[in-house]
Parts: sequence; structure tokens; C-alpha cells
Amino acid sequence: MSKQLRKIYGIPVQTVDLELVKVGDLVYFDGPIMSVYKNKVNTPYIFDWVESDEFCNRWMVYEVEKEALNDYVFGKISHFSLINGIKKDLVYILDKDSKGNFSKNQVISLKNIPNEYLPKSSVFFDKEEASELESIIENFGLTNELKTQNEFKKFNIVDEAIKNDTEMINLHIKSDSSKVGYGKIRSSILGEILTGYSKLTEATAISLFDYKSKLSNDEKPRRRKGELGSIKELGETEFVYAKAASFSVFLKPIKQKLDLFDELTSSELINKTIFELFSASENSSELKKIEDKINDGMLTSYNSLLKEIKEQDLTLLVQYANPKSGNSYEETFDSKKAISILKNLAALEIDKSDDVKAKGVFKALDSLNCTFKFETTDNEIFVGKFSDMIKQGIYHYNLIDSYNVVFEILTSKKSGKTNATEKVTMVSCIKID
Amino acid sequence: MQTNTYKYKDYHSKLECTCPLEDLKSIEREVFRFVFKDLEHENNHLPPFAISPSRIDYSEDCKKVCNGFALSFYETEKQAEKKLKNFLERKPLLADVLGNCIGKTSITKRDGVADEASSDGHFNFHELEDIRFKYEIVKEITIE
Repeated sequence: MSKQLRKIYGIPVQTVDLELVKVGDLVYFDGPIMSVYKNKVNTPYIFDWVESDEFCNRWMVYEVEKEALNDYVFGKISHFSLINGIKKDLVYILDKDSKGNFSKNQVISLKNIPNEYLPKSSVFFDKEEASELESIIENFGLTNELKTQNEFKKFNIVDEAIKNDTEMINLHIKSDSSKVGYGKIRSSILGEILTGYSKLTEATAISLFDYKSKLSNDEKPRRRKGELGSIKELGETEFVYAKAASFSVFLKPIKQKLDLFDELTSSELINKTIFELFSASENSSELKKIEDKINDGMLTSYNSLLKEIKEQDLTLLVQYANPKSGNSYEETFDSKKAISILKNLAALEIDKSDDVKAKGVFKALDSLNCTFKFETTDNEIFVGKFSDMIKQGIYHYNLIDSYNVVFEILTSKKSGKTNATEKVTMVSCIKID
Repeated sequence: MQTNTYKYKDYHSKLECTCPLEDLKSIEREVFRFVFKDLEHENNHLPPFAISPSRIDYSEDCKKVCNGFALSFYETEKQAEKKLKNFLERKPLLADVLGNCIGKTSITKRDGVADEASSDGHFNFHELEDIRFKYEIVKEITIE
């Protein structure tokens, strides 16, 4: 059975009279795949090949803004964003035969475009695939210096903080798609961004203020009831208001603890640490320098936030200001930056070292490889190597006597991964008389 | 090389420009092409104009129309794989036209002439009559 074109749920149109003239091809391989045309007033139209059968090539034709075309050609937005960001929710589906005749023309809404017609969100312009690129650039006056659609109006966060007489955080979300618009946003996206940032501030609070979590298990004192909750609360924020111009959410910390010996409030210290993480994460060697300030919770929540930015093709501006100190921080993320930072985070391995004291007996001793298997009085099994300092004593150890031992456990975990690898070394071994 | 030995000489003669273009060369090397897993699929052996319906218009630049009668190849497997993956991530249904595999074959000096490869390793090859390349699949591309 011969291949048939997909059924399109659109409105049939008899004629399509856009009076378009071809300017060049953005993608050309064995013929045009994505071309730019212009109308009488030099508005760009994209002819995007989507499918063919034995009779016709099907093209998706849509009007784009010159700024969007500029952003696309200079690599600032993806092909998916170019389609998703069209202002008129109107796409022509034109079937063209080998004689150049158009038939079964339809208009459809963006949301009715079949998934198979859409590019992956990671696909950007590649000048190696283009033909007559110079004509396209010259005709539309495209330039890398043109103000992009992605530069967006920023609020003055210090002014907002002074006006409200409190530390303020602004999460300003923008998208070229219909998912985020003027004063409106899909609940799922808002939820993910708010949750992601909330978990990041909570994890940072624990990293900064929960000194008990940094102690080894046998040195850790019991927690008071609600102690960990109080620490997490230092990172907690509450919604104050939202503003339009894409979508902007203003939050404030619910607790601002002031340390007599530190000029920064707890909430400013938390946000300062977060912005240090943002800045360092753009470069893998800078990230490695601050890894002792980063805990697993911070990495996991940061990973989730970046993945949401990447998958939804968002731009996120994060701002913080303290009206009393006058300090403010800000950072902007788009999907391209998110992809780059995610790569740096994935390469980060967190090493944690714990000392564990135990009592028990050897179940196996290997003098050739200097390794052991040890069972504690709590029936816990440790398998590892003797340290250089004590490995000579292996010839004095046996499987009958009991010993007081100390293990050094090095846990290595890659950012974003759930499983860690453990390396056990026995650093002390004393026979119990 | 005499023009009447080219496979698509009847179409070449109808063009305004000289086709194949001048300065093309005979080559002898291993080359790579986008093919279907079914090695008997006709598109594996056809230039763009012979695959119906063609995307190339006769109103296009004569050089592009001329290359519409040539086979597209890449110099290395890596170049071909990178390009096919890019194309299929952008246009998943191009697999129905180009195939989703990389096929390897060898070109000899008796098979035709090639233009200079571009920076991405792509070049056009004008076959002589009775030439039909045999391909070996070296890679299948799957897009999630």
C-alpha cells in the first residue's frame, strides 16, 4: 500500500494568495527543506517541509517576525521556538505536486500541528545546511547585534524590596511559546519553577546551617524535635504578588535570622550561596572549587530547575535584593545555557568521607591483596582494603579474635545520579583482650 | 569525459548551464550515503530529481538543478552520521525519503565525476550510464 499523507484537522482554503517571493534556503539537502520567502512588505514567511507521498510534498507555511528570524539565524532560539513563537496562531498546510500546483490547502492552529511535523527542541540553525544565506541576511537586515526577543524588561528588584520593606526574590519567566504570555502562565510550569527554587533554597539552608549533618554518624548528637524543620524554614519563602510582562513572581523569605557576628541575614546568605552556585556552574573548574559548599540536595534541585528550563524552552531571570544592606544579585537562564550547565553538573562527582568505628570479627583476610571482610557485632558486613599504615599487621589478625576497628568510607556520587559508589578502608585495628 | 556517457545526459542537455559543471573530477575512494535499511529500495540509487515528487524546482539556480541529477555522498561515516541525525531530529519524516541508515560504498575513477566537498563533507556525484552502487549498512540512526 502506498504511503499517504497524514490527515490534518484544519480549515480547507480554496486559494492561498500570499504573493510570496523566495529569498533563500535555511536548510537545503537534495532540494529545499526549509526556505524563507517574503511578501510585498518584506515580511518573512517560512516554508517548512514536513512530509511527502508519491504525489505531493507537504509544506507548513507560517509568518514570522523579523526579530524571531534574526534570533533563529544567530542561534538564539531553536527551530521549535521559531514555530512555537509565531504571533498569529495560524499555519498553512500546502500540498504541492511535482508540477508546482498546490492542492488541498488548509489552515490550522499551532496546537493542531502533528507532533511528527515538529523538530526536537534541541535543533538550532546550522549555517552549513543553508543556501543563499547572504541573501537572507541582506534582504531582512539581520544582524547579531539586533536586540533579541529574549532580552526582556527587568524589574528593579532593589526598588521592589525597598517598597515592600523586606528582602525580595523575583522569578521572571519568559517563553516564546504560548505556554507563558503576558500575565499568564501554564500552572505546571509555574509549579515546577516555584518548587525547584523552593527545594534549592531549602537544601542550601541545610548545607549552610545544619552543622550536625556534616558530623560522622557516631559523633552526631540526637536532634531536638523540630530542629531540622527549623533549619529548612530558613530557606522557605512565601508568595507576595505577581506582575505581568511575561510572568513575574515575587517572593519573600518567611524567616530572616540575623547573626550578631555576621552582617548578612540567613536568607541573604542562602541566596548569595545560590547565586555563587549559579555563577560557578557555568564553568566546570569553577564549580569544582565550590563543591564543598554544595550538598546533594542543592545539586538535585538545581538539576530539576535546569531541566524544566530546557524542556519547556524557557528563559528564567532570578533576582534577589535586601533593602537594608542594598545588596542584590541576579542571573538569567535560557535553554542553551541550561543545557551547558547540566553538562557541567553531570561531570561533578561529590566525594564524601566518613569515619565509622565498629567492633567485630574478620570473616575473611587476603594477605596478597590486603583486603578483608569484617562483620560487626550488629551483623553489619564491611568489605574493603587495609590502609598502608596497618596492612603489615595483617599477618597478626585472625578470624577468631574480636577487634575494635575504624573504617574510612569514601562515597563518590555523580551529580543528578541516585546511586553512589563506596570505597571502604580500614585505618585502625586493635585486638580486644 | 564525453557527456553522452552520463546516466542523466538527456536531462543535462535541456539545461541552460553546462551540466555536469566544469572542474569536476574522477575520484577513487570509500564514500557514505543516506540509504534505507532495505538495500533494494530504489531511493538508495536515485538522485533528487528522480525521486518523485522532487523538492527541486526547475526555476531554481541552474547549478542546483544540475546537482538534482547527482547522488549526494559524504566523505566520512562520521560526517554522514552527524548530518543525518541533524536532519532527522529536525524533520523526522525525512526518513521516509532519505532512509535512516548510513551506507558505505566505493567509487572508482570509471564511475563518474564529483565536485569539491563542502566543509561538512558533502559532495555531488554524477554517475555514468549503467553504474549502480552496492551499499553496506554501517549505521542505523534512531531518533527518540
